Amino acid sequence: MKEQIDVMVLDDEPMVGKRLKVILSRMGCNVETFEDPRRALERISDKRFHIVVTDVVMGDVDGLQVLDRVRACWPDSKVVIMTAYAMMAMAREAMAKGAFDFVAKPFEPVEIRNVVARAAKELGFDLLNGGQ
Amino acid sequence: MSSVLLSSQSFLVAGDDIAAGVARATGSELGRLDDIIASAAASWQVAPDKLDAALLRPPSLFGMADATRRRLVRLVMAECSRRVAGGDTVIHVPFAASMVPGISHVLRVRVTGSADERARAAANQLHLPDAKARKRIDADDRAIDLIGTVLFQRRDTDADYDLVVQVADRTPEAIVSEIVQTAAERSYQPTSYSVKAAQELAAAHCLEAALAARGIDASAAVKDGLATVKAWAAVSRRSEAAKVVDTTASRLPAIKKVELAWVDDLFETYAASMR
Repeated sequence: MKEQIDVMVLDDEPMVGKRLKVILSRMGCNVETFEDPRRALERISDKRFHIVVTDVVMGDVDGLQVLDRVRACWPDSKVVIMTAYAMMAMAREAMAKGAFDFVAKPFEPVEIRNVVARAAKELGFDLLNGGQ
Repeated sequence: MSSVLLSSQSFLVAGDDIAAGVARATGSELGRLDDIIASAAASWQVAPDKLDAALLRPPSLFGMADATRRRLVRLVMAECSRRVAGGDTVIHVPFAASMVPGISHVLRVRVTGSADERARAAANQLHLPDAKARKRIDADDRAIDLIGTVLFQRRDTDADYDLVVQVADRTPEAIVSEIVQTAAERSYQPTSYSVKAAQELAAAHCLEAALAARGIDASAAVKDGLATVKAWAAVSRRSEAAKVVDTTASRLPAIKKVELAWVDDLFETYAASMR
């Protein structure tokens, strides 16, 4: 049986999670969405997600802390940081900490699809052609 | 791969060699100042020596007006940002830190040398006695400070750069290797955000340059397909400027819509409002 790619989407804005779940599920991803970053951090400790797509500004836990946790627990997983507050310094910091990519909101569905497909490809999954 | 924008202090002949070495090592396109000026001059139908003077000739009482200098340098900035948006590139120009601002995958490098070293190089190249060579170095540094202040409202200093490389006692190969290693760090790798930002900046610079080439001052920003242009033009030239903006924007895929605003800064307008 073909292995499915597990993707976590973390954003404190529920609409973002809902929309991304639809977009990424259509690509063949197994998507779990979270609005509470603390619950997401617990889940990351329990389960390996191949790709984590996370907002950067979420109250007391930020996306860079999520990135740190993923890198510590699952070094091969890919983390995509999305933010409405894109700045050069923040993009550099995210990349230096090991993010796979940095995306500024608002983005078109095709942009996030392409980023996730690239991350999946590095992990050996071919989402664009529907196979591993 | 990141792009590298590099400046070097006057009389450091290693600047061009270092840029060429980085371009070779990274497989990037190389843009020397002459190439950048020639391309900008051809694109916007301006004499290359004017662009050269705008970047390098110090301000003087009867020389180029500040507004003209800023307009001409817009054309050089447009050429630099076009190259950065086009892919991996290494560019060697003055004021490298300010030419393509705000793009995280651009590594900004400054090649510096000690005053003694530069004075020795100046004495050799210009066949000057040491004291005169030293004066020449000081004059060059003062000129760069003045030009930087006119163009970007600040002096060009080490603090504006991501990497400052001292050439003293080092071979060009060692310096190239340091720059290539830094450019390969993850912080300087392109992201979806930085690639989009580079394309938007190139589009904004292109709009500004199209107007500047016709003697019209403008500032432009492009975000998510919307170009916002503020232009300073006399009423008699506004329809011409609007046409230029429309024609230029139609060629740029990063622009879907344009909002054009006119800035009326005529003294008499302000005087009338005070009466």
